[in-house]
Amino acid sequence: MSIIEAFFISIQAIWSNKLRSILTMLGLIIGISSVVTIVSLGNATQTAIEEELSSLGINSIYIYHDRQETIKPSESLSIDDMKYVEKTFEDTVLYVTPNIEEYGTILSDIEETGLMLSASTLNTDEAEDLTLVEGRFLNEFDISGYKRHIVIDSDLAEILYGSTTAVGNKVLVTARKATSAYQIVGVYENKETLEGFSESRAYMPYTTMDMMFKLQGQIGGLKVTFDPSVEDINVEIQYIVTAIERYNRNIGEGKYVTFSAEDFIESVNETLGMLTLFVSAIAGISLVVGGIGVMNIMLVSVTERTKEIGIRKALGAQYTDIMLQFLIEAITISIIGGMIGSIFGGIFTHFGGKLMKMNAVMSMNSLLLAVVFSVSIGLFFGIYPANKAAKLDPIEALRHE
Amino acid sequence: MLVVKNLTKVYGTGDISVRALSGIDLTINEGEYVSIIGPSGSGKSTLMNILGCLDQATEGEYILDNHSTQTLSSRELAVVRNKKIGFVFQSYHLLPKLTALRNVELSMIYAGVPREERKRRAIEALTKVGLADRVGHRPTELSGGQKQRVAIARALVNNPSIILADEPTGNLDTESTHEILKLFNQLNAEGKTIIIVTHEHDVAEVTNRRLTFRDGLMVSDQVVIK
Repeated sequence: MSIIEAFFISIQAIWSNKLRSILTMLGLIIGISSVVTIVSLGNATQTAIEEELSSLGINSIYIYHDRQETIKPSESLSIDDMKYVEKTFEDTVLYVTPNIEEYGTILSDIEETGLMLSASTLNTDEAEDLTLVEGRFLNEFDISGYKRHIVIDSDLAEILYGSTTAVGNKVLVTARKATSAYQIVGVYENKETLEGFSESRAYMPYTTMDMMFKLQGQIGGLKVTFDPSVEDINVEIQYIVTAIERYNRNIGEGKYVTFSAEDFIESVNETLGMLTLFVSAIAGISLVVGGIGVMNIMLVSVTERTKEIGIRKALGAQYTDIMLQFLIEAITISIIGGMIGSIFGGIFTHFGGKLMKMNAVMSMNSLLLAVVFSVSIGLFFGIYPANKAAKLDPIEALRHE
Repeated sequence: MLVVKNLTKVYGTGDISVRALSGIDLTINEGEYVSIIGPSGSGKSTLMNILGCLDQATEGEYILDNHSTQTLSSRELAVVRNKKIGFVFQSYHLLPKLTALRNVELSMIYAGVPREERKRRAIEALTKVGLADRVGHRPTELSGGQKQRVAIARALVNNPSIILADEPTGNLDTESTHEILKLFNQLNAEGKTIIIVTHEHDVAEVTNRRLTFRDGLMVSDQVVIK
């Protein structure tokens, strides 16, 4: 008997027990649709985060202190280092910007809110790819003159001033228990970010920041943005790190570490992958439960159709014919369940994506996964009942009522 | 041709063993019309199962068309049932969810006959038994006599050497019984070997050779010349 014959027989059997078949499929539909949804949404999140992070600058690499090492004040990354790198590597480096951040609060006449204060050089607007919507960015006079000028993001401007103009207003900024008055000179546009990635931020001259918070030239890290013509920025950054080590007289001691957007994407992907796998594994349990349902209904079916098996055997059906018939029936139930599950998975993915404000489509991976899973479930849970049917003694089976 | 030598069938082992057939010798030639008569427990159904290759003897030999069946695997037995034997059962044994046509096609599916040919031959067989207009009906939509005729069509369709009928008229009224026996007569006249197991003497009377069984033994072998 050919597989096609077996398929027609199984369709007939499934169709004549519609309700029972649908209930059996339900377990698989739930299982497959959840796995498909989770994997697809996981993939979509991954893509979204990758896009988001590469917009942070794939040409940039951060240099930080290694937290496992004790850093003497003379070894700390500093404004001096920044200027040194800028000068020494002017052929390959576009900008070197300091990474100094302080958490604080900002108070306008009526509103107060939390924000992140960041140090800025002349080039920070370009290094961070900021677009001005109002006023101007910080200039060399702000920096050389230790001016108490800040540039805030558009969301923060709206919180503080609503639709009225923010530029020119004076605000009180409190950080490290010190409060000073600043003037807003510009507003930049918030980037489209994933939910939860956006925060209020204000840039001030690094000189002002150094003075206000008594940092004595020390900075948390450096962001090095390379010229796009540099072939391998991961190699180039090592020269820079070595140069800083030499400059700070700690060559080869490994006090500094580098971190690129690429590294970040990798680590985020790794975490996300683990999470997706974990949640999928939980959803996978429902697939196993669905499979047990298939096995159960196949066992019932074999018992119910013992006489049919006897008749088929009397007419010349061999072990393999009966085996094939019941196995194909189990696989057909699973595949139909898998297909319906995939359709639901696609729908859930679509709405889940909308909810998470992402462009999520059912991935080929997840569809492939669904097909492989449903066939394997049918095969795995169908073998025992099919074997039981195929092994029946024809005389016994014929006598069965 | 079918040859049985010293055929013995024992069910169970040791003290609880039951001897259903004890040393049957029998030869049935091609084209014979044979009935096997006997009360229940006489061993006639056991013989029927062995002749139909649904079962194998404990001892002795069964040679069908010059091939011994004693050493065949269950797979080979299935092939023999498929190609050489056509069964007709007392309770028809049709699959209730399939139409008459699909029921008749069944044994051809296992013989690997292509779809188109299967349909053609099934219609041919149903026409032969007088059910050309009932091809699309399910067993529940047919009378007892019609069901048995579908079963006969199914038995014929692979062109077997023997037709084995186990109480074929046991569930039928007089008129239908008459129809079915007429059909068997016709098939025999066309050269088919037919073996009918029955306990009804009226049925046995239509055959040319009557084998009587009692307690696992063949007690008489009567050839009637009509």
